[in-house]
Amino acid sequence: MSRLPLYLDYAATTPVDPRVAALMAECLSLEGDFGNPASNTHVYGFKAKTRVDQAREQIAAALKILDPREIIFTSGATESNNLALQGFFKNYLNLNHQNYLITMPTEHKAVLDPANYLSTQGVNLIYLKPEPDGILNLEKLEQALKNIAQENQKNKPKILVSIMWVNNETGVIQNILKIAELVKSYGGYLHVDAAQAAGKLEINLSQIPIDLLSLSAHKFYGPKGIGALYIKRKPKVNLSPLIYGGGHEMGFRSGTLPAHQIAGMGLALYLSHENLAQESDRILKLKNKFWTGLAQNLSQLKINGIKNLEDQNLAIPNILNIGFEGVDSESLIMALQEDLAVSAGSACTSASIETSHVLSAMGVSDQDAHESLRFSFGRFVLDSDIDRAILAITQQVKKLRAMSPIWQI
Amino acid sequence: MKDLEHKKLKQAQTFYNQDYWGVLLGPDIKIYQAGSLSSGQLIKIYLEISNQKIIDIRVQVYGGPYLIIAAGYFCEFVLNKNFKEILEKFSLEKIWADLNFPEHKKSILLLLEDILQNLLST
Repeated sequence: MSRLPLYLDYAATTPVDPRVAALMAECLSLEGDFGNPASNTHVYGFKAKTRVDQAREQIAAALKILDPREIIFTSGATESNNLALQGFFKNYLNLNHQNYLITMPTEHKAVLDPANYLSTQGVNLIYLKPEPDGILNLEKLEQALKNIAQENQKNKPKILVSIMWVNNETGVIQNILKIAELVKSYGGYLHVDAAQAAGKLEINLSQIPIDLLSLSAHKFYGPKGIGALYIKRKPKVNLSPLIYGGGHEMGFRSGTLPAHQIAGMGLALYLSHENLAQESDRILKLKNKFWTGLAQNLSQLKINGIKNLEDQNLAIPNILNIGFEGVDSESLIMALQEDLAVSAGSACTSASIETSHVLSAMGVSDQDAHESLRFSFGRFVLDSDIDRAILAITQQVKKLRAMSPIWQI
Repeated sequence: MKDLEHKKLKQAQTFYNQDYWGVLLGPDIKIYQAGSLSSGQLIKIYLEISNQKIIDIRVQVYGGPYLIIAAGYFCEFVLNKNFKEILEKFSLEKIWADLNFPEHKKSILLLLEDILQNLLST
């Protein structure tokens, strides 16, 4: 077996940090803390519960939450998003007022799909198109909130705004503080999908009025199959559970708690925040080197999203989405298969080639979207890996362009 | 199972085989094209034909890996064959079986059929 390809798909998932894996192993077997955290009659249960409590406190500390009970464990961000959106509106359907969900077409499918489902249940769904760089224009949000207020002067409507903090395809960062302030000023609630933000950005929930926030452990070197939803207690957000059967997690999410995964998630987030600023700087340098190297070797490259890579307020350091003119991204992925593991900005899922819904919403043409690849960097990428990646991409793009009938046009 | 592995290997070999990539130049070179930029699939085939026999072939492709594989397979299939032989042996079902493409990629083979029909009708 030859060496494995270099992993540059950290936005899809991250490998579990060895320290996290070691901790998780301590919670699995007879000599470890394998008990059911809900078993309050013996030491095995107490020990497992201690692990869960510790993790809840670690996550609360990382997000600057004073009350750890505001953290509810779920199976991941998809479940958290579903619980946030469906759980919120479940309380308000069939009442004598209108319900509104405001979101963006650039959200993850884990928000768009439940949003579409809710629209079939009577929730008014409003999509706010981003600017060409992927950023939400706050004036558009304010206008939408104003329109709702004007149309519902007699019966106060329920409004939930759901905006992702960092886009998973482009790395674009939304101004969540400003969005939250705006939503609050119109009496709405804010849900934030922070799957790509947690462990990479400072999230201070004591300063930003967010009501619901989704997390996924495997995006920050924790295990797959575990996530969390932050549910604000003061002022309280009314949320109905989607899963019943025991009333675990303050009644929001029944089911035996997987102590090993929860412990892993807590430590993983703690470790990510331990040297967040230094790691962000290191990864930004890698991204800059990567882009500069490619731009020197190849012409006709485009960045999808924020063009100024140095602007850490608008672009996350670890994601870069590049369009390679004249090269189909699927073919480039296959050509790179032995050297690099990356994913496309577009996915072909049916007979008609489906472009990335994110890039399409940003106004990127179908052709440009089909020529786009997402590169995402992480903890285990070294400076020398970037040289290897630049070389491989340069070679394969040149080869594919040489055989492309449109490259000579 | 072995047959499937063999077909996967054949797919990969055809994708990485650059023997037919490029163009042929000259007044007698025939050029056939199928697909379109807007559909994200464009294939351009350059043929040198002598006495109704294909004696050289090159291809340019813009599209996904399955199109590149199909184009490579097509070149291999028609090279050094005369029109009569191609007509007798070419069938979409056979290519489909040989290449083992996923169902949703079957439309790619229609592009090859378009090219072949144009070629044989000249």
